[in-house]
Amino acid sequence: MNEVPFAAYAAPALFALHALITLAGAFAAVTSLNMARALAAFLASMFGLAGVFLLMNAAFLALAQLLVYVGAVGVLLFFALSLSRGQAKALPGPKGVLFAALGATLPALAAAACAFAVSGQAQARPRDLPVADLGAFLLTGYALPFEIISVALFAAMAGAVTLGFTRRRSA
Amino acid sequence: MSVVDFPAAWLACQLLALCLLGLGFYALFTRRHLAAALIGVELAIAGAGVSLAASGTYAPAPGAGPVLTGQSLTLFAMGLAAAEASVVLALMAVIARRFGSVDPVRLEDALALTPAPAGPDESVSGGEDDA
Repeated sequence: MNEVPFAAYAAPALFALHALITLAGAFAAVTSLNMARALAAFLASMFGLAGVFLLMNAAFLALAQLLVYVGAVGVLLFFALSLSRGQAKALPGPKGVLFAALGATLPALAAAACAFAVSGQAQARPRDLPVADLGAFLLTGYALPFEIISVALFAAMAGAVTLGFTRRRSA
Repeated sequence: MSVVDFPAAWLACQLLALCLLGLGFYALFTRRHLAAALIGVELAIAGAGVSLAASGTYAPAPGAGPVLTGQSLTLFAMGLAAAEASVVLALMAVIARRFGSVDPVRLEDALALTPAPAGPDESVSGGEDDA
């Protein structure tokens, strides 16, 4: 893929662009007090993440990212917002924010140190993985986890429906 | 096909995932609105998905044939995220029906109006028994 003269720069630049979209959206989603704005920023972040998956040569993951996060989780969060006034309480004081930032960054920093330590073993060449291979893999080598996740999904859906029904009957 | 294959791609993906994890934890620690905390958890899970996919793509286990574990594990993480979001939404619906709102301020008011004496508490638990 070196026919394009700027190919060596295009890949990092595109990755940086999508990572920037993702991180800016996530930051806005985390810090915005207006819940509708936070939700929109979260959706933008998930769109950027789909771009990262596309750049990673994982087109199916990008599709699933759009379907699951932008579609399903986004709609769920919109429903959740309809239950509230949409205005969150103010953040805790500066001390609380400091502790929260420490608690958030320390594990991430520790994991980043590990990532730096082993990054030399990574190979920078994503492979072509056809979707058909992924499907076959899920139904042969990973059949048990696949079934378990479907049971977990069913349990979650049944639990959600049960939670929603009990109260309505009593009211 | 545009493909990220610059040398530090794995590290860059991992750092992106860790930033998402940190932001998700931050939301979890600072926000008291259930929907905001849910957004934080979703961000953290999305970061886990990026990390898994990057590891499967750029750093496959040696001698493991066609390496698909990273992508399938990312799919599992996405499925769990969707399941978790649906359960939290159901919990929010129950809370909203019982207390009128899921906003932390109004919830605190609703709970502060019903201190230790069991007057309003009984009506709540009575409604629960009917269910």
